[in-house]
Amino acid sequence: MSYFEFENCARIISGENSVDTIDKELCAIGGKKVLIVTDKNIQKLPACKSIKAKIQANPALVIGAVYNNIDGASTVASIGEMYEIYRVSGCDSVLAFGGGSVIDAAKCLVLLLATQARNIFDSLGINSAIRNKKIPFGVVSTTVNGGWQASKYVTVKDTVAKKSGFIESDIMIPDFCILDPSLTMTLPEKAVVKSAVGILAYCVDAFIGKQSSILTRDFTKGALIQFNKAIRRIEQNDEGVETRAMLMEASVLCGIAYTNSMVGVSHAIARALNTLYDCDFLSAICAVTKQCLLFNFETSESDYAQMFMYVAEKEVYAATPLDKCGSGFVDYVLAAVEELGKKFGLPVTLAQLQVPIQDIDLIADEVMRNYAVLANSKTCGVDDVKTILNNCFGEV
Amino acid sequence: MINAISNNIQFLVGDKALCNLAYKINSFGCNRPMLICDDMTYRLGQKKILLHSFDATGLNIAVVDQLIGNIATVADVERILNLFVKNNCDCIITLGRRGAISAGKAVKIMLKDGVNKLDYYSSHKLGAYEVLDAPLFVVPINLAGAGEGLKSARVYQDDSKVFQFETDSAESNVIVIDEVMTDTLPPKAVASYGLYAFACACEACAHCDDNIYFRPYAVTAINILRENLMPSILHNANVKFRTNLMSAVVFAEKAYSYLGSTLLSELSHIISDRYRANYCNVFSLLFARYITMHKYSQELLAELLLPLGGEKAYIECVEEARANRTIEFVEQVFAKVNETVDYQYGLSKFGVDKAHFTAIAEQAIGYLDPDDEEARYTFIMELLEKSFE
Repeated sequence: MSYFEFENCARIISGENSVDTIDKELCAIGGKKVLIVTDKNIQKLPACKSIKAKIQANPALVIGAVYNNIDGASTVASIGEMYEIYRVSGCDSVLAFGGGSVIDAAKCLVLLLATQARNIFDSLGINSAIRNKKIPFGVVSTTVNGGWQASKYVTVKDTVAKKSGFIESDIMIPDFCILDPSLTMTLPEKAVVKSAVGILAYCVDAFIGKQSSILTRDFTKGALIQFNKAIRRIEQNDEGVETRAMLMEASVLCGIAYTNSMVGVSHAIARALNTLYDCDFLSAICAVTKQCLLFNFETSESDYAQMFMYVAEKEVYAATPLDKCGSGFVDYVLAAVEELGKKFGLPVTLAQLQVPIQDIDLIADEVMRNYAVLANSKTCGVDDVKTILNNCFGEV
Repeated sequence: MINAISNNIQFLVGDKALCNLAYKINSFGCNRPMLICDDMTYRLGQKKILLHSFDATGLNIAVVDQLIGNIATVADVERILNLFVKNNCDCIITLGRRGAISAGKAVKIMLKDGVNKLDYYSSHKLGAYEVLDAPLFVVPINLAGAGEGLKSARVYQDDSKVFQFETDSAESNVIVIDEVMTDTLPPKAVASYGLYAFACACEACAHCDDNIYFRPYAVTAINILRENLMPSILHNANVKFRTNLMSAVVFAEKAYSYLGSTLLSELSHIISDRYRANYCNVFSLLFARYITMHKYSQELLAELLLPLGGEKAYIECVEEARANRTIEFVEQVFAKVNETVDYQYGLSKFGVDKAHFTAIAEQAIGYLDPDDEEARYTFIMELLEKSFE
């Protein structure tokens, strides 16, 4: 067996009303005085009030402070503010309550506190940070893709120095992650569907990537099973709590898989677009999935064939000759992205994301700086990235 | 329903996995590891290989303790704990077989509780030691050790008293499975651990449907076992087969550990304790009979056919027949192994007395959730009867 490493992500507490366990979970990880990281919109939700009430009702816990100034990205400025509030108010633990931006910002704060570094940019790269101190850290996700957000990756920006960087560190993995589908009911259906497309794209990268292992593949298959159940419900206009729970489960499973397989070119491009143009990561994934899938077909046809079984109708799969299953999977994904894109107004080209076509060279350079591109199943050089990007625009 | 799942273990598996151990220790912020190994492991040379892997990393072992034999005793554990504290160690590496691994886990539990005497209730908490969550790195050298890398630890006081721990606190942080560290076992022992892993993985897939987060481990274990169980029994000297099988054992146990207490695990504990029988053998025997009794959900059994038989077998079998086909597959695996290593056995072979069935059943019911479908006296008696010969 060739070498692989595999780690699971945070302790997961999932299911309707699982958020009610928040105080017990915080106590279990040793939290006493908690800094809650959230954003202004989420802070207005009744769920936020009930979480605070739950924590306050537990005599072993105190809310040290609430930080709500997250504006869409993990910036050096916001991390610095949080750090100061944490220190001044004497907090000893961190709770992120929100979506991707909130969770990412909290992860950066935990990294800074645990390493006792002065600057978050000291921890750039893959597992370069060394833990000096354990910071109890919990996450309550308000999006359906919270599973993969509770991973060890984050992109950090310095808006003053105009630079950005990517961090992978085990230190950022939360101690627990609560995935309560009832908290996602205020999300618009477009966001739910975008997450579903994101899950599919993540699954593909996790399955075919050079770093994938027998375990990551089985976790991906588990994610595809849950994804498939959810997508059938979405097709019947059912985006209720059970559908969201299924997507959350799929996001956990594919999050575990992709955390261990270092992902691929579609991630690298989406991260570059997020860094350069503040594009929403999931929208960027939606816009590039198709071309990345086609780019990798040559090296990954047999992997696509294996995944086909988990997304196709059983009769369709049974009737498809083995040598056609790979292209069958591609057709399935392309049709799903196309259909969902039309129905819910998702971006399917880079032009729709307002990305300037003249910046292809700049984007390609940024992509090549991201190690996720190295894990892509087909070796992908800068010219390949430019071709993919061109094709993503060519669909206008 | 609220579903909680903890995930602490990292796996380093395959060729040259050991080379990454020092880096992993470092990533936990540790630099003074204590090494626990056993006498046999030392004589086999694995300790030297492990220390050699640290050469270029600058990591030094702070102190070594060497167990005599393959069981951990209370005296061993308390001696190791003292050494750990005295030498300001910050993490534990256990290298070897069941005894060394159990000792490492027991020390981890005591450090976490801040106690200096081993018992279940921390009543000897004397405040002598500072509470410490010491990371545990496990390097098993054979199949028996591989499964020990998870949540259980067994420490002997004397012949009549054994501390059996089953707790998250005992869970290792990192398990390293590297072919250079693996040791051969006789075919019957390989068959025993292989079938046990197979039974655990199948039970994890079929026992309940809220297994979304741990089913992938079980499926991976079954996939590995499908290709490596028989070759490993027949050719255990082949390092690839036995390393693969060790991975399967770890993944199957990982999946199974999420189930908590089940009828099969409780019955196996009761019988193995009462008659000093091998737990793994009792468990796989009971499973082989249990699966034929149609207690598992038909839907989950049908889905189990996919990892057991592969995609072709799954697709070619009509939906209604899949559950029965799964049972046939399981029976075939057991039959093939039994035929190869002459491994026919029943509870009677373990010295179980039929007259004790009632007491065994009652004891098992006492450990199970009363609402559990399995906790029915008549059913347990039927299972015991079926497993007798």
